[in-house]
Amino acid sequence: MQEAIEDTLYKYKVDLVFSGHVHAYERSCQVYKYQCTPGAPTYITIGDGGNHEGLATGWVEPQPAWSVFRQASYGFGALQVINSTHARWAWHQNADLIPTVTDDVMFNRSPTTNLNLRGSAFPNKQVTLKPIFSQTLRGELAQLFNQEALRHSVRQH
Amino acid sequence: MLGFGLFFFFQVVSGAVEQIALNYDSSFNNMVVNFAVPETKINTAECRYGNDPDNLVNTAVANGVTYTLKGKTSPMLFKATMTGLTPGNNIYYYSVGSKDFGYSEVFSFKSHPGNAPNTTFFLVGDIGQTTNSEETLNELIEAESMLATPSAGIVNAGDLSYANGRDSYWDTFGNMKQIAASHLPMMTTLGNHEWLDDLQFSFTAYLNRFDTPLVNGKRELYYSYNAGLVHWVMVAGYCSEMRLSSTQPCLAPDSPQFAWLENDLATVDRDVTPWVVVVFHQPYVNSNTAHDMKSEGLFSRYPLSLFDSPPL
Repeated sequence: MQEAIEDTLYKYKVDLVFSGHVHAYERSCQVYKYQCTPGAPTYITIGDGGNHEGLATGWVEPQPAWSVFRQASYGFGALQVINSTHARWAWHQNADLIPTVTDDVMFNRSPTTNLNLRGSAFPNKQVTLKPIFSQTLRGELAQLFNQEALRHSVRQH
Repeated sequence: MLGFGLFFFFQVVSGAVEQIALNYDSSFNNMVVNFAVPETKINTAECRYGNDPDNLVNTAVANGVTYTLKGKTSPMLFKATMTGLTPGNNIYYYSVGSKDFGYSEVFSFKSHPGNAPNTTFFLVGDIGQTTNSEETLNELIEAESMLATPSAGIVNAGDLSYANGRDSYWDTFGNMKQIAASHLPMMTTLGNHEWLDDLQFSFTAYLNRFDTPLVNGKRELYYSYNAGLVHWVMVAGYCSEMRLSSTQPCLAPDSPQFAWLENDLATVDRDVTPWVVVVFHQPYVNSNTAHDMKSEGLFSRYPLSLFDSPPL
């Protein structure tokens, strides 16, 4: 798939790529050939809808530099495309019918900005470094739900 | 809600009409509705629709088809296109059925948002049909209902029912997803579990049960459409040629899909849709050990199992 399509998506300045297949959530930086690259697509895996094969909980360690956020929990995403340059992406983690946003980022497609990198070199980026569970009942429920889901998941795919 | 062992929770629909689902076609003025009626030979029904739930003044003809796999015939699968809708997330109501087998309850939906800014899209993948799947859809419905800004339904990145050749799974999946898809249009691409759906690599169930916008007047496994400020490109990572290939034949340089993709991406009017978003099922930018990002060949590292996900 990569050989077939990556150059074309980069050439035509595709902004975002969504895939499934892997039963977990993951978001990359703007990436081309596994290097964070301005103007390249951001890749998001959203294969965490909830099928019977369970969650995919094994990750390549250490986390590659291009992988900004990854977590094996059930959920879905919401992409609000605000205007020609900005879009808000929110990954919702299932939390027993309480809407809970665990990864929340503003994409900016204006050419001079924003790799959506993680790490302290980019302190102003709206990037979540690891799951943030707010100190509320909602956050605690999300955490409990996630632990429960992981306990019951079978590592097959 | 934590009943993880219980599969196939789905909403029981009154009457014979079931598996009701919406999708966009290429016109902002249209909405397509799909539904199924089991055990009937009647292949004509209708969709009544309008902006007053008590007086559905418009009628769209619904035509039904069946297919037969492994000696088993599918329910009658109907499709109707509601036309003449005013874009801009206006509320409409509809009911599907016929005098012969009765009508569904009245559902509501929002018309196509047009190219409105601030439009929200909901993304799901590998949804299947478990209590977790149902939870995902219920939370999605709740999030959508809280929006004060335009919405443009659900984008599904593939692996839908996990039927794997068991055709009745498509029916239970159709009924499960109805809770969302009866009022939020769902735009699908296909995954490996659709590729394998009938064990013939011909996508029979997928093509008959899911409607997608046409490509140059023809139904293909791939398509593109516009909504909000986004040009969505739904790429088929699987095709029947894949059966005999160890590489990615669906997007080979000389393949019809690749020619279409290049042309589609080259001709996007980015003044209208500045954002271009591509969807295909199998990722290559992914650091999960379930599907190693470096595995290039389709069958080179893993044996082909019809009930497993071939890596790519």
